[in-house]
Amino acid sequence: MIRVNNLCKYYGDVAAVDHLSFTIEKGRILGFLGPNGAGKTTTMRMMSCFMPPSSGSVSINGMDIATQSIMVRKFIGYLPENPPLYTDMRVDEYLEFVAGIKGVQQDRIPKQAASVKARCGLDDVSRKLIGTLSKGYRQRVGIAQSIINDPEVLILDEPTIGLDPKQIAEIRTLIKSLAGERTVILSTHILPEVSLICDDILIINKGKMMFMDSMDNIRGKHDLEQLFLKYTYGGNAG
Amino acid sequence: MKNIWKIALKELKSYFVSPIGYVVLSLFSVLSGWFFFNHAQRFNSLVTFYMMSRQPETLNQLNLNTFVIVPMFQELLMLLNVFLPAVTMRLIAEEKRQKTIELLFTSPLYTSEIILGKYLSVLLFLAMMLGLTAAYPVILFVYGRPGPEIIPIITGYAGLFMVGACIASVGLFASSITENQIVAFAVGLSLSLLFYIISMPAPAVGGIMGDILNYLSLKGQFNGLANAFIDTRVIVYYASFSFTWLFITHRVMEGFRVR
Ligand SMILES: Nc1ncnc2c1ncn2[C@@H]1O[C@H](COP(=O)(O)OP(=O)(O)OP(=O)(O)O)[C@@H](O)[C@H]1O
Ligand SMILES: [Mg+2]
Repeated sequence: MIRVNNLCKYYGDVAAVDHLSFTIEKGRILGFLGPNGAGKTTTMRMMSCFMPPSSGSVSINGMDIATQSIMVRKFIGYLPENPPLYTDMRVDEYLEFVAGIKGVQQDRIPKQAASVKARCGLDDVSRKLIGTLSKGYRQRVGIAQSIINDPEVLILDEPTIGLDPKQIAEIRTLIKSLAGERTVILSTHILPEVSLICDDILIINKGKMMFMDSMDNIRGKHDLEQLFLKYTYGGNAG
Repeated sequence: MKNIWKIALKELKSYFVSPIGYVVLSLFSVLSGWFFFNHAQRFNSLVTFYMMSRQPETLNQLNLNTFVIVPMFQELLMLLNVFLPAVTMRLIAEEKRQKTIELLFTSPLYTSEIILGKYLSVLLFLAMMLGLTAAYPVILFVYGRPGPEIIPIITGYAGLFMVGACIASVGLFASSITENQIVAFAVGLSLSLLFYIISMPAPAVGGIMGDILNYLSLKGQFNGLANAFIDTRVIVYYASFSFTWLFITHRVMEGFRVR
């Protein structure tokens, strides 16, 4: 379970994230929506312990990201906006390195790596240099590294960007199959994708929370696109 | 400790995936070989000259340590000054540019482990660089009559390693303040040169100020070691020099995280 409490991030005087508070129950998939520059990436960077909040707190499975940071990072999987890839490494080598620093036990690494490669469709490129992969394949490697430590909490920043339609469908299935035991938060601009995989929706704008509800409540009653426009552009744009 | 090793191993591998490792190792040994053979050759002519002119006292004062090894060590030091910043320039700058820093910072690693791992990889690489030059003293042992003394060679290498470790810590700092490898190289090179030549005005300045400048100089501290003169203050100096720069690097990295 993820509990976000009055989370803020200031860049100088500008509040990129402005008193966000929400909770995600264990096993749910949260769709994190908002226009460009709304503060999604900034929020996820704080949740993943990349940068400390200016104020406010996040607790993940009861542990605080500021005071128990190293503990928290052990069971988080994180796909940043730009997949963090070493272009001079081969896919296998990279996954092995990430597994190592994420604290996966040495004897479990080969099995873990094989499993994520199969899940992300990387078997054919495992010997290739990451620098020679196409954008979509790089994205897949990025997703693969985020789940290599079997994380209990998965934070995905625009996971399906750059993927082909078949791969999008596969990653969708993958994310759905990961949930259940795990908690997932993913940001995206693709609204149909949200209605297909997410259990909850959170819309933010200019760092502030605008709307949050479960997909079950929305389905049938509201159109997601209408909701998005209403809460971000006041309903009169587009 | 394990984490430090994982980072170090990754960096070591990447020295040899990119050409930087091979380029630095080969240029370093070619240039140091050039210095060595010139000194050896000059030594040879000196010996021949004094033998011809029958001056046994002067001849007795000629020895391989003073005339070949010490000057070679001085020049190796200069080469380290140039080559090590080239080895360290990408270590942190490239992580920032490629955004892989986001992976390191969200993994269960302490920032100190990341820095020490990278530092360890440079130290190992430095050991390789110095290891390659060991061929030259070996040549002197095999062909020198009489051969050189071994103690000053050992202390000299220890000194080179420690000065190299100092330069590496400055280089790592330079790499932490930018995303640009060239900037990191320029800053690293300038800083390490500065600490190399900082003692230059010491004789003119004199007094306490002169002593301080001498004390701060990487080069000045090295001279004693090259002559088998071991002073614990020197070791303390090197250790605190590296520690200080690694500490500043730590601060810079943590600051980068907050922004
Ligand atoms: N390092 C930084 N320095 C200053 N301002 C920043 C920095 N990073 C982000 N911002 C600002 O913070 C705000 C939120 O950015 P963020 O990247 O979180 O948006 P986002 O919701 O992820 O947008 P997108 O959909 O385009 O990915 C933006 O106004 C951005 O300009
Ligand atoms: Mg973003």
